[in-house]
Amino acid sequence: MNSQRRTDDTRAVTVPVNYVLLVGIAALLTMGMFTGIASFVTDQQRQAVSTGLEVAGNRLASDLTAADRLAGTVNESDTRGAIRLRIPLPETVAGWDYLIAIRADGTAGAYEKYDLVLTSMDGRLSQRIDIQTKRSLPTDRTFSGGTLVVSYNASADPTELEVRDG
Amino acid sequence: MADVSRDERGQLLLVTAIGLAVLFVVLALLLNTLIFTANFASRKGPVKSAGEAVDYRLEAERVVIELLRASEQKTGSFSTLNATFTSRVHNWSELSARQLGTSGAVTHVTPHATEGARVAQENESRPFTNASSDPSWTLVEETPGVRAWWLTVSRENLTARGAIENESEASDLVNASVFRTVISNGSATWRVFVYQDGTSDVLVRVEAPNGTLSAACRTAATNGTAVVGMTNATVGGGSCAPLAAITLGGDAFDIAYRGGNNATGTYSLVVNRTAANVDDGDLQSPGSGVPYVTGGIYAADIDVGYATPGLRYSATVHIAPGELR
Repeated sequence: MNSQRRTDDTRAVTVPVNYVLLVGIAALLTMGMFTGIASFVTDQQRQAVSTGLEVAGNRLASDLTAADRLAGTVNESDTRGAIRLRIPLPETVAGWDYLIAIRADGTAGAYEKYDLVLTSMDGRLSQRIDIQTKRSLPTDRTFSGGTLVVSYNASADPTELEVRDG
Repeated sequence: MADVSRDERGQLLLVTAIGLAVLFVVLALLLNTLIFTANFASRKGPVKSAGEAVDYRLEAERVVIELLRASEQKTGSFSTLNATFTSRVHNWSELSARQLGTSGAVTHVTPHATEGARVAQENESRPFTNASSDPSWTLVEETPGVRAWWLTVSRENLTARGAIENESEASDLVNASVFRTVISNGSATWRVFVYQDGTSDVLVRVEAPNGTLSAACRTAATNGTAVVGMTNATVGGGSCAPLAAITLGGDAFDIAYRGGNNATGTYSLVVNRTAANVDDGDLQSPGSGVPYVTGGIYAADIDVGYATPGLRYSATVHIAPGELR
């Protein structure tokens, strides 16, 4: 009986097979978890950047239109009429730098239409916010994130709001 | 298969666990970012101070309008009136600056008054004639504007409707010598006729430069008198569209009374000319019992400044309440 067992080919394979199965299945499970969570995190990050850009854009839009309305209370012939409004935008969104561009989008009655385009530095994510203002905005420049300053000077040009990095 | 000793087992799990831990930390950071974004989105921005700047400006306008109204009751030289007016605006400016300073805003209001003159009659039983009782006379010549022009007329001394042949014809009103104010800039002449219906009401009709006579604005006289607001376009407190339509297109104009015998009462108007320019013998000084001219503040330009860390707002506001020009 004893000698017969010892010569059996199939014996003693159990341990390595068990081990290989164990390692294989564990690797499969952990890799699956790893990739699943990694892609979830990446998605979340893209969403965070997207939301951040949207919030920053809306904040910018509301402050620009506020400056425009304020400028509307100043008489155009008023040489002392001036407004300077600081718009505190975040330097980065979810750790990413971003750029702000203002693009002309035609007119609507007495209003000028603009698109505020906020783009992440890698150019993959962007948000567009429509605004309408009575006075014109600069469309020939791009601003980086962080505080912007919008100013109006009736004696310089009563039809223009000036925007620059603050 | 390598030697499987106890020490080297479980590396795979360890590496994976560390990897997952890193991912969870990143996820926590992202969550943090989202919370920050949400916080930023709901944070109060400069929009609030923009609204406060406009509020402050409107408040300053209201105060200055009230102070100008107060000066319309007073007699004295322009410099005296202006000194009072300016010091009161300064008082308000300082007071409000102290109050708004507590919320982080720096404010100021600086007034610059425009010299004018006020023409008035205070004797309620006197007709609307000049100092030497001439019923047709010119109160002011070549004024670029007039405001705060009030007539308080006694109904029973106005021309009655029965004495007018056809009250819808300007010429008949003139023939009956109905009291009228004539506002003329040389090319356009507006006439405002004031008469009564013989029983209770005071009527006002406006003749436009093209000759059309408006329908009558009417009001019942209370205690025998009715107030005609020439510049704020009211008759007895109710609005009167024909009066509101009067405009002189920005040219300087003359203001005259005709048929001054056919109206008694008081009046007051502030014109955009200096008292020295208005004084021409038709008027005397205050307290004489006849129409007089005194100093007045015609308008005020106020410099309004409002500054917070995020906003600087400065504007000049021209204030001439109820100006007709």
